[in-house]
Amino acid sequence: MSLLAALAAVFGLAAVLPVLVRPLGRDAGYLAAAVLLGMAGWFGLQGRAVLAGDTVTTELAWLPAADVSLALRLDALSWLFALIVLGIGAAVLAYAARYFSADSPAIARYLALLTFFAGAMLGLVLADDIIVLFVFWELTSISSFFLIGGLGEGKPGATRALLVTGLGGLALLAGLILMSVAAGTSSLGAILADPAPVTAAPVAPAIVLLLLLGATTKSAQLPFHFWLPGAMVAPTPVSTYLHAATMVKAGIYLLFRFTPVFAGVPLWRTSLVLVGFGTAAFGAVVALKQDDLKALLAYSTVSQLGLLTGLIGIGSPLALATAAIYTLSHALYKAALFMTVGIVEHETGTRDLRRLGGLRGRLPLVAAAGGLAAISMAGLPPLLGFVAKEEVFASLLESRAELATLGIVALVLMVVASIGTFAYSARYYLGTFEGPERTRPHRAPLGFVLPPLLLGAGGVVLGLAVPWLDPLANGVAMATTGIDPELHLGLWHGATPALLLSLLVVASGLALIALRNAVERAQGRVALRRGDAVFDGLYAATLALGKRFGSPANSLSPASYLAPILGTLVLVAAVAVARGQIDLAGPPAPSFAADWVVVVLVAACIAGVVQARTRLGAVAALGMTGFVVAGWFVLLGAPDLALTQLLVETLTIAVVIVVFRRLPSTFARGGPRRKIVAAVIAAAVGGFAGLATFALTGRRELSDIGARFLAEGESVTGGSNVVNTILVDFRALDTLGETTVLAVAALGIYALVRLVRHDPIPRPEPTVPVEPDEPPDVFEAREDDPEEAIVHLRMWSGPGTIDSLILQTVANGLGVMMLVASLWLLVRGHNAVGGGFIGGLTAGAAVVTFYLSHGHERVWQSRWLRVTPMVGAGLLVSAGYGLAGMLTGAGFLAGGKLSLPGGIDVAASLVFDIGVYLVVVGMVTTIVRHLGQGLAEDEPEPDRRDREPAASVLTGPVVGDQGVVR
Amino acid sequence: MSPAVLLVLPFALPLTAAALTVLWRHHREAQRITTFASVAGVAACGIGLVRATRDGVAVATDIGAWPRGLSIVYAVDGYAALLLTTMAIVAAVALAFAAGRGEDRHPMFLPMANVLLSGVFGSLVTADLFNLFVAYEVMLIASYVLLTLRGGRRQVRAGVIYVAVNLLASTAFLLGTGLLYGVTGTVNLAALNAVVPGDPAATVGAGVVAVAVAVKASLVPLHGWLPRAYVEAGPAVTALFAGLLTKVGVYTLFRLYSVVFAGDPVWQPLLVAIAAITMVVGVLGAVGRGDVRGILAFHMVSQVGYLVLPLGVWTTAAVTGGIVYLLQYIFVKGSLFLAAGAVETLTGTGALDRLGGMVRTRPVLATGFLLSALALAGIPPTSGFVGKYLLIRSAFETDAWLLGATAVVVSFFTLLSMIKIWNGVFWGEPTELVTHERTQGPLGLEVPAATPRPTSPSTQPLVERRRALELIAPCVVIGVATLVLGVAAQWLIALVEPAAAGLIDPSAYLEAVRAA
Repeated sequence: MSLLAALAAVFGLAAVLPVLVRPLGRDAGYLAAAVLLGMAGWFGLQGRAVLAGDTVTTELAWLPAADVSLALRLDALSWLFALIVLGIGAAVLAYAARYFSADSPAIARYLALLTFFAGAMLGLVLADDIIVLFVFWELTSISSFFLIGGLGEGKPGATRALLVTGLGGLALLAGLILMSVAAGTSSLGAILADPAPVTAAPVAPAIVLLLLLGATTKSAQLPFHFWLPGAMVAPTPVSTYLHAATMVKAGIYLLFRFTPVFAGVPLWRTSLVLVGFGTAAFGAVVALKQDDLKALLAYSTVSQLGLLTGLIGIGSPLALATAAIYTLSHALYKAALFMTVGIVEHETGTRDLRRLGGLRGRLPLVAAAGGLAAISMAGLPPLLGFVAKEEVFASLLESRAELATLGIVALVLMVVASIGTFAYSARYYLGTFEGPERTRPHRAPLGFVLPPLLLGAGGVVLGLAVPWLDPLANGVAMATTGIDPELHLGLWHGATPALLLSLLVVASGLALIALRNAVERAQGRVALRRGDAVFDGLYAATLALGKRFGSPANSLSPASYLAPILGTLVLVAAVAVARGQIDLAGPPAPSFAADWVVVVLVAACIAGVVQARTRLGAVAALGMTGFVVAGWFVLLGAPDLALTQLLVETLTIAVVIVVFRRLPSTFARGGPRRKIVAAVIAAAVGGFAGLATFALTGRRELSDIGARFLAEGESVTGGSNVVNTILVDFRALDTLGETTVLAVAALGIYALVRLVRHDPIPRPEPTVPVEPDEPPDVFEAREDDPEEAIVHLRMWSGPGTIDSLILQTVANGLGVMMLVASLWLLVRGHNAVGGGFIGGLTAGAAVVTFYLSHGHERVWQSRWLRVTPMVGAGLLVSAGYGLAGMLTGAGFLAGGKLSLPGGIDVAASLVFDIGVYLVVVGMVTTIVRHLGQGLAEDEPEPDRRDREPAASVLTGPVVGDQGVVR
Repeated sequence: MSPAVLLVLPFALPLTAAALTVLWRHHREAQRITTFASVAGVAACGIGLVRATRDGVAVATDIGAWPRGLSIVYAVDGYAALLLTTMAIVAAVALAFAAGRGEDRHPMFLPMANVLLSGVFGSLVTADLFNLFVAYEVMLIASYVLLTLRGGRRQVRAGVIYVAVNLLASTAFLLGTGLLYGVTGTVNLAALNAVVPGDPAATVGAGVVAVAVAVKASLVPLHGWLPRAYVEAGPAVTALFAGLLTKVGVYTLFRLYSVVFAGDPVWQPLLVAIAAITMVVGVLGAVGRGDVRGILAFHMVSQVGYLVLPLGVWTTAAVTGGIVYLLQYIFVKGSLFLAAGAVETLTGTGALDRLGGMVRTRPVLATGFLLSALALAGIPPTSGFVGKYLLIRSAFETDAWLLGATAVVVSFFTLLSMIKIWNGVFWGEPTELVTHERTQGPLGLEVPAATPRPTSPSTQPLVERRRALELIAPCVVIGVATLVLGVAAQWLIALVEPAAAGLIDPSAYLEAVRAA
């Protein structure tokens, strides 16, 4: 539990730090540092047991269903990394407390994020579940993003860092999931204890590659190294902690961790050694060339991380033990170096070597800290860095037989890297602290200098007392290879080959320094293609590719969206036909000769539609198909359907006439290519649809359920009109839904047509020019003014459409008769032809007649012909009928009888039909009222008085209360 | 309450609320109270149904209590119940945002929203193919109106495309249902169980229905309409559509595959290919866009690929992952669109190159967006990570390497496009639009720049603060919820697992439907 508590404590600290900053100011950093230091002490106390081979574990269920638990485990390796995370973390937080100025608003954010990162990093190195390990891994990437990016100052660097490490993170996720699937568990301990299932799995090479991708991106190895120098825009405490001492070592940790699993896989070793030592040499050479101190240190970090990668790749117990010491040594001197650079920049305002020099005079303690760290980095005795570098040579020499050519390559690269390291270490120190003073520094307060000084001194102490580290080195080797290399660290092992190599390095390094002007000139001639430029190129290419993929969705032509759907449907049908398992023979069911007449007539109508040049013509021809089908219903003996169809077609024509007078009378013509494509698609879709209907629906008798509706319908519902009983009883739910659709259509017209402009309405222009490429021509296209409301639906006032006194006289009587008839149809519907829908349509016809004879003005002013009351009430009655059934216990939309006064029983579903009736009448009324000519005044709206001047171009409550919140 | 009531109310309550809000169109507070009461009622029903279906049980009722086999049947299993509850909650949040933004000022906004919800919930609970078609129609007709309610030229233009595509899809749905009825003589889902395997004729009918539903779910290549249309609606409407509409399509695909196709493995290679292509095409489209909602809309396409991934794998683990992903994703996408809506409302634009630096002016909004964006990209410890982990794992478990790998790679591009939004909107130097947030009229109609802003220092911040809170709170609440849901995912997985098992083996659902 204690591990979990430790982890929780760090996250808790991160959460409270912003609050603590308020009273404490930047000194809250010291508090945080103290907490981390205390925890480091606690971990230190575990050291004796852990380094002896014990492990401390703890577990908390997280996703047991997915076999993931928040398990933590402390062994020698985790112990080393935990100490680095907490120890360096404490130093960095203390440093940050002086790095940021006292009044910096960013201090709370940086302290909290740094501490949060410490928690994430601690979780990463303690995780005993590979999925949990990934969770913390990603948390470190995310905290890095915000630590680099700040409030956006470091946007490009942060983005590159996150995308590169994010890419690696996802690769790692894939690798870890594959690993857990292969191993049958996500427990790290279990996988390490028995790696055979993983290494034997066919996906083992994929796992290795994915893990390597994760590790090399995180630890900035070739070719992903470029994000690390780019991340140097972050404040120095961030660079110190994340991008030198800890986060970039997460990849190293990962390699350490999975050494027991993959050390035997040739791919693992070869790629690690080549990538690692290659990066080491590359980074060292490039670092030498940098004038920006942070960039110099960043490439130096790249180089040393490469060295660690290669060392782990060697895989021998000695190499792993050495890697542990090197990790520690690097954390100490690199953190100190970054801190000194931060101080130098803070006090001089620059970190450019060309503007620095001679700072030792005024910043002696900084020079001491930087000098100690640089000596350690250069690998000179008696510092820890020397011991570490010696052991690297020793490891390479020890394994040379086993590594063969690879070993020679590695050794050469290592020597190159070491020479470079020596040279740039000297360049850093000499360029900054020796020679003439070029920029005069401020004095650095002691509190600011103390952290790097302590870290630098740590390198000396540990170098002199290096045998103390034997248990650590051997413990890590034990934990990662299972073999104790019995390494005895010391400053002096006699004149070993490693020492000779070190002498070679020092000599060459000194030569480079002596010739530094020549070296710099030579380097100036070599221009490397910068990794971030490549990255940016890829990024831009991705965006361009994305634009191409997204471009189909920019089209304004509805046809371009319909074609893929129709094409898919054709594909489905074509596949079905090609497989040929469907019987396409003629239907065995009874068929009539008259059916063929219907087919021919329908075909003729369709031909008419296709031929039509005018809108009205096309709609009329289409309407004809409806009438033909109505006739067919009569032939089949379905008067309800026929009547409904006839009424719908009649009203449709009426509506179309009303609407179409606002549109150009002819269609926009498409080009010949488009016509051909459209014709092919239409013919294919139509042909297949017809074929499918013929083959799949034309051959059967009445379905079981159809037979039951006929047989049981009357006895169950009390209604003898089977169509009506299906509509209002058995499938009343469908009818309720379709009624709603109708109601919404009406309300939609009501809602949308109110947005029409309210200025004096001109007569329609004689001709409206139509752009051939303007597919929907109900409105004008004006891209320059996208937010302007539609104004094209122009209205004009005028007398009745058919201005005839005779019609007006006749129409009154006719209208009343139609209304009465509609009510009669409504009431008798349950037992005979009729019902709410037919009744409503009949009443709607009365409304249309009234409109045609008396004109829009009268319709508009009528107290009865109002949209929302009628539609709303109809909907409420229908839905209420359903709910009432539920309240009485019969069930939602259950039928039954209503006993009216006077001993008359009627079917309760009549209520439902009344609702349908109201909605249908409301629908027709809406069309006449809102699409009919002469829309001018709407009923006064209560909140119109709030209208602001800006809204006056528009009418209605939509914009009537614009703007002001009261 | 009896299961029958719980089953019916999710459809009936919003419908009644729709009727009432039409009648009360001039009384906005009454409209709001009615609507929120109805949504709360549905959410309560959803919770009741989740409890009732917790152990892999399904409940069903016949509508109208006619003799067995003659009625339409409503049935809910764990999958439907969980989805219903989630959607009700997201709808409530989106409507609250609409109220905060003033988008519900149009007298027909709330009635249409209610009808939309009625259709959505009806689609979830029905066990009858024709009734499903009707519920879809109810849902879509309301969406047509909501989409164009802003009334701008661009809305109408997009609306034409949206309506055309959906009418075609509906026609195909009807045709397919008719064909299936022609072959089998029934539209009852239980009776349609397993009619496809082995019957080429039924396969054609069901295939046409599936294509129609795939249009609504916006699977590639039937997806183009979605990014075209969704970006033009009002922000709250987009959030509502994003949370509900395409997800109903996904739900239906699962239901059809489970029941009508009986999980026939013949289709899995095709489904795998569709899922992978949908993921890739969607995410690339998103990467290429330069406006917040455009990016998010293309992501909807991409995410549908993840959502239908389980169809190609069809194990309990995969379906569990799919449902977990779906449930949390409904929240996440809603939240992202609400954040986009807040940005647009405050600044008047969603174009990345005209925005910047909002992390300084609106840090809370930035946090809310960030959490949701990380969840979308599947970054731990958000809920999105858990969903993605389960999905990818299930793919790898069944050796669907390519599918799993696609899901991983697409995650990278998702992250990339989220960072693109973050960099464009929240980081960098605040632009003029950001530093001078505009007062905003209802329905996203900006007060023209020429109109002098009310500058009285005593009143203006008060107004703006209140509005900003209403705009920002929904997205932040959901953002935090994704974090909580990620950490406490076990609770969700435990609920989802029996539901997933109930799709792989739908016998409980079928039994319930037959017995109703």
